[in-house]
Amino acid sequence: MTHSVKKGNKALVGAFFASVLMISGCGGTAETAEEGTTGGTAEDPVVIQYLHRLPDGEGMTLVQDSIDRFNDEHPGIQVEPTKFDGQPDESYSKIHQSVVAGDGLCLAQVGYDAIGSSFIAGDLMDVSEYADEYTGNYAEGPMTQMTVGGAVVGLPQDTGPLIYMYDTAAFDDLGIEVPTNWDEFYEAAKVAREDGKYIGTFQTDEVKALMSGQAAAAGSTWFEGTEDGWEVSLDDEATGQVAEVYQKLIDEDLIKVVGRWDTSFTDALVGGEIIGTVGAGWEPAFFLGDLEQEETSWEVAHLPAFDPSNPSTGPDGGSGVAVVKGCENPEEAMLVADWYNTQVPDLVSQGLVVAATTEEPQTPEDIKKLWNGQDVYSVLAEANDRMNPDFAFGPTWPSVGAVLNETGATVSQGGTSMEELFDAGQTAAVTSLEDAGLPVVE
Amino acid sequence: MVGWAFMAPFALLFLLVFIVPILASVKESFFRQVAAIDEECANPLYGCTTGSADEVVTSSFVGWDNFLYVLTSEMFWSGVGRVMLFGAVQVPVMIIASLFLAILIDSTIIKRVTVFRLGYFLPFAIPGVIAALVWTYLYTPELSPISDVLGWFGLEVDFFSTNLMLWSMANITTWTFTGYNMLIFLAALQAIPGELYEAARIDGANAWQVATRIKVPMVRGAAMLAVLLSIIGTVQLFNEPTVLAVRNGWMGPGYTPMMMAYNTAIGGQISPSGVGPASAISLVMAVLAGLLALVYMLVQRRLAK
Repeated sequence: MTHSVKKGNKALVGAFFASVLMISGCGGTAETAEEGTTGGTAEDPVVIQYLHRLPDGEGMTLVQDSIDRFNDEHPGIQVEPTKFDGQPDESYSKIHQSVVAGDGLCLAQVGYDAIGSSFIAGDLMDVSEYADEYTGNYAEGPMTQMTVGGAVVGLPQDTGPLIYMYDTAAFDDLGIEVPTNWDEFYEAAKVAREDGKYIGTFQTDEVKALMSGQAAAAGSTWFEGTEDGWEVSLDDEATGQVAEVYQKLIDEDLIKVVGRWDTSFTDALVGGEIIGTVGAGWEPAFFLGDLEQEETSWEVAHLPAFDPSNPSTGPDGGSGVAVVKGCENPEEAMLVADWYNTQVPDLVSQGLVVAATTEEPQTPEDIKKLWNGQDVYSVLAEANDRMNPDFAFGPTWPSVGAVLNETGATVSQGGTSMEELFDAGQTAAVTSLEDAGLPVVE
Repeated sequence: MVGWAFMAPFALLFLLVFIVPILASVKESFFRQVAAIDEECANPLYGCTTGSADEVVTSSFVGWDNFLYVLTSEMFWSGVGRVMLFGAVQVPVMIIASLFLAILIDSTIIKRVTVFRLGYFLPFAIPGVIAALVWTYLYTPELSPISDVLGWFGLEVDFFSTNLMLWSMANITTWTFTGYNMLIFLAALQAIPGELYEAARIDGANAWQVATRIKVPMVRGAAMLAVLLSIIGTVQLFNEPTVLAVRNGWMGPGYTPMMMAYNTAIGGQISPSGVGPASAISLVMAVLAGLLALVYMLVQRRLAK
C-alpha cells in the first residue's frame, strides 16, 4: 500500500478533527441585546447574535462580509455572526445551552430535520406575528419546513433536493443514457457493471438523509400531523418501493455500498469506479474537488423517478435561520434573517441551493466550467420545484435518524436488508413519539 | 471545633460537587421529560399549553419506569457487554505491562531512570480526547504509518471494523494508562525495605528470584488499587468511543453505557430522552461498578488466603 495522501482526504480528516475538537469547546460571547422595541439608534443599536454553520470557504462571499453590508445599511441594528465549526447535532446542543443560559442568542441555523425537535426542546420562538411580510419571498416547501404546528419559527435559507450526478464521458463510452427512472437505472447499472463500474451508491453513513429523501421522492410523508396525532408511515407502500429498488440493486451488486465520507469513496470516484451517484443539491459545490481538475465531463441530472408520470424528489438537508427562544428583539431578528436569506448571489457562493424565490440563482463560472459547462444551478432550482412538499420530519426525528443511521451502516449484500432498515425506523418513530408524550395514531 | 474547621473546606466541596449531584440525579431518575400538553389544547402535535405557561417540556413522575426501561434495554446491555469484554482483556494486559515496566525501572539494569519514568508516564499527561484524536489519525488507513508498515508484510488491517473497534480502543486506553499504573507499582516497590533484598542475596537468590519472590508479592496492595481504578475507568469508557463514533456511524449513540447516558441526556438521539432516563442509566452503572469492585475484592481476599 502506498502512502498516498490526497488533498481532499486531508481536508476531510482535518474537518473531522476540527469537528471533534468542538465537542469539548464551548465558547460564545454572552452579550445581552440592548433594550429596544423597533430597532435601536446608531448610537445605541440593537445587537443580534447569529450562529451559523455555513462553509465560509475560499472564494465565497463570507457571511461577515454580507453582514457588514447589512450593518452599514441599518445603523440601528448590529448583527454579530459567529461560525460554528462542529457537527449540526453539536450546534443544537449549543443552541439549547444558550437558551438555558439566557445569553441572548437570537438567530441560529437549524436544519429542517431538527426544527421540530428543537421546538419541543423549547429552543425556538413562535414569530408568526412578524412573518407575514416575508413568507412570500420563499418557496412553499421550505417555508412549510420552518413552521411547526402552525407557528412560524424562522425563515428558510437553503434546500437539498436529491439529484443525480454522473460522468457523461464514461456513460458515452458504455453507450448508456442517464436514467430517468429506476427501471432504466437498473438496466444501465448492469451494463456499467460488466465494465467494472458503478452508476450508483448506497452510502452507509448518510442513510437517514438519503433514504428519507428517497422516500419523499417516492411520495411518502413519514410523519403526518392529523387531528388525532402523528400518523407515522415508514412502512407505507411508497417507502416499500424504495426498499425494493435498493434491495435489488444491492443484492445484484449493481451499486457500490460505501461510506460517503470514507476515503474509499474518494478513491473510487477519482479512480473512475464510481461514474454516477444520487446526491444532495449542496454537493455539486464540492463533489468533484477530489478530481483536482478545473473541467470535467460530469453533469447534474434529476433524480431517477419512482413514478415516471410524476417525477419528484425529496430533501437531503437544507436549513433555515430560526429565531431562538429568549431573543429580546425577534422583530429585528426576522428582518435580519429575511435580508440575509434573500442575498441570493452571496448564498450561492456558499454552495447553497437557495430557498428564496426573489432572484434567479446564477451558476458561478468555476462551477459551470467544472460541470461540463452545464448551468448547474438552474437544474437544482428545477429540482427544488419538484420536491415533495408534504414530507415532514417529526419532532423526535433525531432518535429516529440515529436508529436509521446505525442500522443503515450495516446494510450490505447478505447483511441487514432495506426492509429491516425501514421497519427499525418505523418502530423507533412510534416509540419515540410515545416516549415524548406526543399523540400517535396507531 | 478546630477539627471541624479544618475539615470544612473538604466537607463543603464534597457535599457540593459530590453528594448534592448524586441526590439530584436520584431524584431526577424518577421523572421523565415529556411534552407539556393540557386538556384544552386543540392540536398537541408538538405539545402545547393553552395557559400562560411557556414551558414546552415538563417532568412527570414515572416511579420506577426509568429503571425498568434501563434494565430491559437491549442497547444498555449490549453496551455493558462491550465494556465487560473490554475490561476482561484490557485490564489484565495493562496491569501486567505496568508491573513489568515498574520492575524494570526499579531494577539496577536501567540507567537514566528519570528519562524512562517520565517517558512511560507522558501519555497520561495527554487529555483523553486528544489521545483519541491522535489515534484516530494513526488508525485511518490512508494516513496511518502503522498501516504502511503492516502493508510491507502484505497485511491490510482495518482498525475501525466492527470486530476490531473494541481492541483499537483498548490499545488507546492501554497506551494512556500503563504509565500511570506503573507509577503506582513503582511507589510500592520503592517502599519495600532494603533488608529484604539483603536477606535474599545472602540466601543466594538471583535477580529473577528477587523479582518474582519478593517484589511481585510485596506490591499486591498496589495491584489491588490499580485494578480497582481500572475497573472503574472501564465502566466509564466514554472519550474514546465518542470520538471514534464521529467517523464510524455504525457505533451509534449508545456504544458504551456512558455514551448512552450522555446521548440520552442531550441531543435527543436516544429515546426516551432527557435527564430522567439518563440519570437512571448512570445510577444503574454506578451500582454495577460497585458490584464489580466488590466481587473483585472478595475474589482477591479469597485468593490471598
